[in-house]
Amino acid sequence: MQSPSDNSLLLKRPLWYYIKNNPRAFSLGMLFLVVTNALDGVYPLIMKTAIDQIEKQSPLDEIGKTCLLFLAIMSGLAITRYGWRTHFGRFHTFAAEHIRQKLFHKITSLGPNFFHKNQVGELMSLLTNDVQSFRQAIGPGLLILADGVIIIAVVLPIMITMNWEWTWKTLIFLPLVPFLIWRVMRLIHANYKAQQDRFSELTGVAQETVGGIRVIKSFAQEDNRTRLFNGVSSAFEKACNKVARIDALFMPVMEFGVTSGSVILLFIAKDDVYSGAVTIGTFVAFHRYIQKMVWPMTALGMGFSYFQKGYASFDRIKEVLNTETDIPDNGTYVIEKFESLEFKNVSYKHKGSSVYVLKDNSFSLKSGERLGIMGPVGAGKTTLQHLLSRMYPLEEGQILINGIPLEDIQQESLRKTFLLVPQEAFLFSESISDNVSFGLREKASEEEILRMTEIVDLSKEIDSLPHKYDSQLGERGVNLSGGQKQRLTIARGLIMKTPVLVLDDSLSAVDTKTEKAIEEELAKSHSTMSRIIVAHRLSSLKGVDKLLILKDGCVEAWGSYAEVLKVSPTFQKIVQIQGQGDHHE
Amino acid sequence: MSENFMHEDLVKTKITYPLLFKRLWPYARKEKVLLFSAIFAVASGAIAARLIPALIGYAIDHGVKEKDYSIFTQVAYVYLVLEIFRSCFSFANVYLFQIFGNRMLFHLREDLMSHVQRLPMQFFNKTPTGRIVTRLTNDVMSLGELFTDGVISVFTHIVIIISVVIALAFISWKLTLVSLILAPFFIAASFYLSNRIRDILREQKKKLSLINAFLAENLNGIKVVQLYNRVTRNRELFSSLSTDYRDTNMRSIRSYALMQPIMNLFNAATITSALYFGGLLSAQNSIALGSLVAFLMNIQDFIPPLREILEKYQQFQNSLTSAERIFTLMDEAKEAESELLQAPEVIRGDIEIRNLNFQYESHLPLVLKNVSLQIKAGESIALVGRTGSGKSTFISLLQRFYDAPAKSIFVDGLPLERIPRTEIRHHVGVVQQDNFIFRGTIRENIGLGDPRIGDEQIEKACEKTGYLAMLKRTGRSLASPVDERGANLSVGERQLIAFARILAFNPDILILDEATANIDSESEHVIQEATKEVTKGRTSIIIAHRLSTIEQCDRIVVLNQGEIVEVGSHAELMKAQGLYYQFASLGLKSTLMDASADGTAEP
Repeated sequence: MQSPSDNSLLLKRPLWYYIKNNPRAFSLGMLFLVVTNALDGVYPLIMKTAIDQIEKQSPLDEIGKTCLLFLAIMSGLAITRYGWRTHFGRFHTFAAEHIRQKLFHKITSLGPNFFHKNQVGELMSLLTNDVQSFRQAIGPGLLILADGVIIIAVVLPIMITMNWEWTWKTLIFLPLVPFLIWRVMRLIHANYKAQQDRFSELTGVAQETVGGIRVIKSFAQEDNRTRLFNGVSSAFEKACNKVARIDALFMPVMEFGVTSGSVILLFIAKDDVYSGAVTIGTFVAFHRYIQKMVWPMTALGMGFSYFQKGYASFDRIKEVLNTETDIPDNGTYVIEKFESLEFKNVSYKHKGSSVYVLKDNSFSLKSGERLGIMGPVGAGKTTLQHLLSRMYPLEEGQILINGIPLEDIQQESLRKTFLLVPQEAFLFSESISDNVSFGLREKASEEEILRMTEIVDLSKEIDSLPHKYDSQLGERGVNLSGGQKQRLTIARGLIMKTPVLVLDDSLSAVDTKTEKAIEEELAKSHSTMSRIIVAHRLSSLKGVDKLLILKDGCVEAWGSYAEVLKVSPTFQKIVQIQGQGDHHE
Repeated sequence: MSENFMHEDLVKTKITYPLLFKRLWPYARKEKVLLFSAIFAVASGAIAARLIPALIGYAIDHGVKEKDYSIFTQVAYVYLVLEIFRSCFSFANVYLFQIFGNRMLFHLREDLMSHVQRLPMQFFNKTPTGRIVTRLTNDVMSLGELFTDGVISVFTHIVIIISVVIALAFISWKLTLVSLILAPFFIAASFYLSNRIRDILREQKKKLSLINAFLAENLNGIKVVQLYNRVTRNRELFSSLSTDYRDTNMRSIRSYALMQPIMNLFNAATITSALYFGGLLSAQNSIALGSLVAFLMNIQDFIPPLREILEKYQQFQNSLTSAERIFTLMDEAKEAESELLQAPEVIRGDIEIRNLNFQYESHLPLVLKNVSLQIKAGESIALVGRTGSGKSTFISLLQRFYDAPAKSIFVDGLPLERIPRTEIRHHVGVVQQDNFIFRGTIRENIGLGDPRIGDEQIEKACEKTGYLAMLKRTGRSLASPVDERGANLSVGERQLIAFARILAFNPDILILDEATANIDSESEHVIQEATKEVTKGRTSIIIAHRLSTIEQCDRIVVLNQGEIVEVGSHAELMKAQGLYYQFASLGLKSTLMDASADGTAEP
C-alpha cells in the first residue's frame, strides 16, 4: 500500500501524515476557517457603527449602507462556514476511512496467534470506536482547537484596540474556563464509564430473569425478582444521575466566563460611558466580544480532551499496525504440481509456552496417497494441520513440499494446494450457494453446487427451505443444525478440488453412507489425488494408504494398517473398541 | 449481505408523540414534584435571560442618556444577581429534568419487568431471550434519551423562543413583525433540509451496521477466510463497504454544513432589518436607543434555540421505534386468570385428572388425549414414555404454565383453574432436567432471594440432600460464588441445588424430570439418595429414565402418543409384556431418550 517511510510517518505523526496526504482539503478548510473567523470578528464592529449612527441620528441612507455591509458580511460568513465544514469534513472522513482499511488489511494478514491474544470484540471496538475517536481528534478536536485559537487571534486584538484596560479587566477569569471545561469533560468520561458498568449489571440481571423464567415462575418468585431488578435498576439510575449532574454543570461553567466578564464590564465601563468617552455602540460591541471569547475558551478545553482521547485510541491502533506477522508471506515458489509432502523432525510449542504440542514428528506423503490421522484428544492433530497450512510459524524441524521448505512457498499457492476443512463449522451470512462457492474465484455453476450438496447428503434438506439455495444463513436467515453446517463446510471444501484435501474431523457429522459418497467423489476426481483425514471413527478412514497415530504430540506409529496395528497400543485400543470391521484389505 | 440484516421484529403497538405522553404519564405522575420544579426552572431561567437585555436597555436609556450615575451601579448589581440566577436555573433545569427522566425510566423498567415475568410461557418459547432483554435495557434507555435529549430539550427551547418573542414584542411589536417577516421562509427551508438529513442519517446507520456485521463475521471466521484464500477478495469487499460509508458520511457533513448558512442568513436578515428599521423608528423617536439595543440583544437569542430544535427534530423523528417496542411488550397479554379464584389454605396432594384433552394451539394436533388418572396424596408415580409422548406437557399443565380445559384437572377436589397461579406454584414444586442456575452464591440459588426462606432452612435442605457434605469435601460453603449459568458447577451439583430448592420451599406436590445427562458415579449415588429424600411424604410425579428410580415408585404410568396405555407396578407391567416391558428390556435410558434429551413438545 505505502512505502515503509510513509508508514513510519503515519505511526509517528498521524496528523502530519494525513495533512501531507490530503493537503487540499486541509488547507482549504483552514483558509475558510480563518476567513470565517475574521468576518465573524468584524461583524459586531459593523453593528457598533450602525448603533452609533442611530444614536447620532445620522441620515437613513448612511445607516442603510452600514446595514448592507452587515448583510454582505453575514452572507460571506454563510459561504465560508459551508466551505470549512465540508473541506474539513472531507479531511477527517477520508483519514478515518484510510486508517480503517489499513487496520483491516493488517488484521486479516495476521495468524491465529494474534487472534488468541486479541478477542474479536476488542478488535471490533478498535475498528469502530477507536477509529471514531481518532477521527474525533483530528476532525472536530483539531477543528475546534484551531477555531478557538483563530478566534482569539482575531477578537483579542480588536478588543485591545477598542480598550486595553477593559480587555484585561474583563477577561481576567477567562483563562480558567478551558481548564474547568477539560476537568468537567474528564469527569463526564469517567462517570460515563461507571454508568456503563451499572448498565451491564442491569443487563445481566434482566438476562438471567428471562433465561430462568421457568424457575422463577415455578417458585412464584416474580415479585422477589422484580425487587432484585429494582436494586440494580436504581444503582444504574444513580449512576445516570451522577453523569447528569456533571453534564448540567457544563453550561454554567461555560457561561461563567461571559458572566464574570459582563459584570466586570458594567462596573468598569460606567465611568467612561457616563463621561461620554466611549460611545454606546462601542459598549454594546465590546459586550458582544466578551461573549465571543467564551467559545474559544470552551473550545480549548474540549479540543484538548478530544485530543487526549483520540491519541489514547491511536496508541491502540498503532499497536495493532505495528504487530509483525509471525507468518510472513515472503515465499516465491509456486507449486505447479504437487509431488510430495514431508514432515522432518517437526516440533512445535505455542508462543510463550514451554510445553511442546508436537515433538519430533516425521512422516511423508506422496502424490496420490491417502493418509489417515488418529489419536486421542490433545494429541496435536489439529496443530499439525495448522502448521501444514502455515497458520503458525514453524521453528523446529522442516516441512517440505516437493522438497521446498514451506517458508519459501507463496502462501496463496500453498493454500491452493492444501485445503484444510477445519473442525469448527463456520459459515457466512450469505446464501447457501454463496457459501458453497466461498473459496472459488468465480461462483460455481448451479449444477456443480447441487452436485456437491448431494454428495454431502444435504440437497433434500436444502430443497425443503423456502428459498432453497438462495436461503440466507445466519441470525436473520435460516438456522442450520450443527451437523448440516458441518456437511456444508465439506461441500465448500470439495468444490475447491485442490490437489490435497485435509479434513480435520469434519466427517464426524456424516453417516457412513455419506462418507462413502464423499470417498467416491474424491476417487473419481482428477484433481484431488491426495488427502489427509483426521477422524475418530475407523469407518472414516476406510481405504487410506497409510495411518499416522499421534499421542501426546509424538508419532506413535506411521505406516500401513497392519504395521500400525502391530506397534501402536493406542490404535490397538481403538480397534478393540470399534471393532475390526472391514478395514484391512 | 442482504436486507435481511435490517429486518425489524414485529411491532404491534403504534406510538405517536401524543400517545407516548399518554402512556408515560402514569410513570411521570409519580414524580410530579420533580417535573414541576424542572418546568419552573425552565420558565424562571427564560425570564431571567430576558430581563438581562431589558436591564442593559434600561441602563442605556436611563443611566447614560439621563446621566444618572447611581442607576448604572444598581444595574450592575442587578445584572450580577440575574446572571447568577440564570446560571443556577440553567443548571437546575438540565439536572432536574434528567433526574426526573431517570426516575420515570426506573418506574417504567420496574413495571415492564414485573409485567414480563407474568407473561405466559408461550411468549417465552416464541421470543428469543435477547430480544426481551433488549426491551428491558437498551430500548428503555433509548426511550430515555429520546425523552431527555429530545422532548425536554425541544420543550425548553420552545419556552426560550416564546420568551424571546414576547420580550421582542414588548419592546416594539412593529419592529418584531418586520424583523421576523422572513422567519417562516427560513424555518420551512430548514425543515426541508432536516428531513433530508434525517434520511441520510438513517442511511448512515444502516451502512455502519453493514460494516459491523461484515467485521464481526470476518474476524470470527478469519481462519476460513485465510484458508480459502479469500483475504484479498474480502479486503476489496471491506474497502467498498468502507468507502461507501465514507461517502455517506460526506453527504451528511455537506447537508449539515448547509444548515449553518441557512441559519446564518436568517440571522443576518433579522438583525439587518432590526437595525435598519430600528434606525428608522429611532429617527421618528418611537423607540429609545436602549430599547433598540435590548431588542438587538434579544433577537440574537432567537436563532440558537431554533437550531437546537431542528437538530433534535431530525435526530428524534425516527426514534419512536424503541417506544413502540417497549409498549408492544407491555401490551402482551399476561397469563389469564379466571374470576372465581379460591386459594386453599393447605393442600393434601390429591390429584384427579378427568378426560383431559389438550392441544397447544387450535390448529395443532392433540398432545394429550383423553387422559384420566387418580393420584392419592403421598403417592409416587413414575411417568414413562418416549420423547413427544406428552410427559412434559403434563407437567406444564399441573403448574398452570398452560391452562388445561376447565374441569379436567382437580387438586384436592378443586378445579385447577380456580386456584391462583402463584398459589398452585407454591404447592407444586418442579425439578427440571436442566435447572437454571443464577449468578450469585449457592445459598442465593437455593433460597432464590425469597425472604421467607431462612438460612437455616437452606442449610437443612443441603444437609438432607447430601450437598453440604459435598461442598465441605471440596472446600466450599453455601456462600461460594456461582458463575453465570452455573458454569463453575458440575451437572450433578446443579441437580442437587434444584433438590435443595425443593426441600427449602417444601411444596406438597413434587414433579421431577429426571436428568438424562451423564453424571459421574459419585454424584449419581448422592442424587439417588437425594431423590428418595425429596419424594418422602409428598405426592410425587417423576418422569423417570432410570430403572432404579422407577422401581422406587408406587405406580408406573406409561404414556404413548398422548395416551395412557399402561398403569401398574413394575412387576405387573413386566408380566403384561406390553410397552413398558419393551422399554425395560431394551434398556430404558436409550429408548426413552431418543437423540434429544431436551425434547419438549412445546411449540
